[in-house]
Amino acid sequence: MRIVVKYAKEGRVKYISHLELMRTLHRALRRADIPVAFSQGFNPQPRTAFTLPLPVGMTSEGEYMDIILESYLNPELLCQRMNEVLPNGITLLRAVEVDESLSSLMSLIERAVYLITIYDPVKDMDKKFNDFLKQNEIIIRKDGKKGKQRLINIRPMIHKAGIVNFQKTDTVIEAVLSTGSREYLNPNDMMDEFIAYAGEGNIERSYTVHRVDMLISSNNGWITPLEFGRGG
Amino acid sequence: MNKAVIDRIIGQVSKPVRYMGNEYNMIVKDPSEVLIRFAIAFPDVYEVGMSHLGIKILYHIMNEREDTYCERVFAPWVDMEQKMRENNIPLFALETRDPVAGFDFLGFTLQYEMSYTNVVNMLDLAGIPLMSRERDKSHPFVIAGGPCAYNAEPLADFLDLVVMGEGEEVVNQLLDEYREWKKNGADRQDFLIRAAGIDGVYVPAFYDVDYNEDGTIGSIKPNREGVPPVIRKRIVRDLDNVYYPETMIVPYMNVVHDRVTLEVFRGCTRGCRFCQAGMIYRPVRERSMSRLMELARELIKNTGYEEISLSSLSTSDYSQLEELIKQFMDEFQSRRVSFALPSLRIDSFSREFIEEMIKVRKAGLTFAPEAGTQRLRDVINKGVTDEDLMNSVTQAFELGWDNVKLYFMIGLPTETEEDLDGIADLARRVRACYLDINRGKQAHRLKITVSTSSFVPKPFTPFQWVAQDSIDLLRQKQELLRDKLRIKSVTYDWHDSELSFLEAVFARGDRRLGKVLLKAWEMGCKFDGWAECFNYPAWQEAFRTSEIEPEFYANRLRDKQEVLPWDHIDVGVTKAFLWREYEKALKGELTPDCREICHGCGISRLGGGLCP
Repeated sequence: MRIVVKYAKEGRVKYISHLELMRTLHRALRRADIPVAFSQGFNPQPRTAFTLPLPVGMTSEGEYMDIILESYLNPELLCQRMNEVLPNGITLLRAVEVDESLSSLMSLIERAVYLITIYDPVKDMDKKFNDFLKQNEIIIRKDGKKGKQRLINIRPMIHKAGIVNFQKTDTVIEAVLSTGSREYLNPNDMMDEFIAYAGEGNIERSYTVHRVDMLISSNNGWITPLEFGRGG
Repeated sequence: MNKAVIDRIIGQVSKPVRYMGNEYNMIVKDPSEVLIRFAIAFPDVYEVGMSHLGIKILYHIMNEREDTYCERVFAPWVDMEQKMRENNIPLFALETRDPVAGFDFLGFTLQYEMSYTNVVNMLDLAGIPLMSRERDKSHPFVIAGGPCAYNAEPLADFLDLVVMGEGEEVVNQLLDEYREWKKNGADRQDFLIRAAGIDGVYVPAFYDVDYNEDGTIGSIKPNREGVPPVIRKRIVRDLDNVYYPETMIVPYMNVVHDRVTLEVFRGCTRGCRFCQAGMIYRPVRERSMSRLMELARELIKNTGYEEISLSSLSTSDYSQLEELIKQFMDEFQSRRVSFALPSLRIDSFSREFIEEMIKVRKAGLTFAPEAGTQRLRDVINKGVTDEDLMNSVTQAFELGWDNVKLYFMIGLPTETEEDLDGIADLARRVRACYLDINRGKQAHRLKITVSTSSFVPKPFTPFQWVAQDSIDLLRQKQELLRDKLRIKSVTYDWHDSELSFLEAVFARGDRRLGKVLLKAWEMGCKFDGWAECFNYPAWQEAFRTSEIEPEFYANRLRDKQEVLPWDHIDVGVTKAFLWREYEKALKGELTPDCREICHGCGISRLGGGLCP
């Protein structure tokens, strides 16, 4: 049986790495006595698959995990039992049974929706952000392999972005960014570039990033992995 | 306000998980509803401290009490410390993030001499006066325990209380006494007097030390009425009935020992003469197999760990080990819980045993002959032979291993160049054995690591009187070995001899070292056990300005009559026994395992019927 689980990572646990999160979920599976299947071989591992790592320090209510079970278990019961044994901040939100022949979520997810909150916003933030997006190219430098720097145009990876809540103390941006294995934009890279563009690059801006959900392309447009799992 | 700052700076340092808390099974209580707040402190980073069993036991034992909330605190790594100091964040406990300066107790476990600067640094970060005599009623009592506490003299000025021996029972007595004292509202001194009345509790300020002209100790005496002249360590008599946690905090981080730890027994009957643990943890007391299985079930259920390890000295000495492993395998193998066994003695390594282990996981193998020749192994009473080693190695190679590690000590009493040659000979024989078994094929896959540490004489061992080799001599020996070990498939690594020298100074140090410690800390010394932080020139400077010669402590041979800085502590094993063992060592005479015959070490004075 294959189950797709949507979960949240919030609060203090935002600082745990992807590897630590995987270990935490695996141990919770054991505590909850979930009949998870194991891989064959010398060092058997639980048969789970995770979507792309959420960068350390970000929160999310739209993370996904694939679990293969040895025997049938009601997906809702799985959530309930797991939530009883998970540390504060990690919560399973929904689970659905999916066809075992379905491709892995990892390979299907291409975009994610983010909410980014800037504290102490840039002056004329709304205008500057619009100007920032109006550019044909937004080039950033990334450290590539062997210490070489690569220049990347991130503009095509910003599919939608706009200020949804504008206040003096904090301003919230909603953005849909490429988040797949082929094309990936870290929201931090976009924000650091914007802050530099806004001309106040030497001021240390604090902002937080929250991932709302992930998206898969389908015949019916962009849908969430759970919608996809239920057959689109 | 502070808590928001803490949250922010955690995001700016390496490994933020170290400071995050909020792990599964962390105890949550409302601090306003308890009478006693205890911060249990490990003077090293989180991942080291969270691997320590004693901390886990004490954490849960104290939190069983309704009147007490025990929280954890570890040494912040240098980047975090810098952020904390920049933002005026005092040392805080992981659970509530409250400053530990406001707690009732700050309790350190002393596992390693080179963590002492971290103790001082943590007191400073907490904003607690460094010296015991400078503290008043607004400050926590600073308390220490653990193996180094048996000679905590270098820290005597910094500590209010020291607990000798196993803490499970003492801690409750101490907290009960504190509760009474807190109700009565008497002064700080009054609590120390009450505490000194509990067996195993040592209040350094209640003892005066005077010195002879040659720098040795004249006497150590109580300076007030009603304080015992000798403090005897506490032990737990029955491991089946003593508290053992049925739950453990599950760190997010990959800590050093990231698994369920089951303590199978305490103590050791082997009597290796260099080994402090083998002397101070006597007598041997086993936990029954049924209790161990019960604990294993509960702990796996409550933590979700995928691995269990057995913990004790010389684990293969557990009287029912094979049966225990069989039961573990039967019950847990199908649930994919694997099994780790540390500290195996090479003479007890049976083939069936390795085969059983291999089913679950194939890890690297370490053998510890400790010395290169039979003569020297007899001196240290390590009752293994070359044949034992070769048999075990042969079995391992036959079962497909091609990566082994051989561990030795250099600088042992009576060591000569012949003993160093012996190390190289053993490495050569191990290599030949591999080639023989594999008929000369796959030689490229073989990897033998020879590792040496430098012998550090410790208090409460038969070698407590001996001089450590000088730094220069140890270096010469390491260089000699490097040449002798230029053998195919063999790599050699060794420990820093300057660090071993300082370990030797503090292991057998007295109260006069307190000012050196303070000076070294002022000069920035901390995390001395970490190569990237160890600053030997600063230590040299600290000794120079304090006008103390470290060689007096490390490199001097003591005579039988000398009053040792720890003579007022009774660990059960007597000084007379240790001296007898020392004399036998010099003659190369063996002392067999005391399960075979009692050698009158003195431990039975702690109560009849204790020894197996």
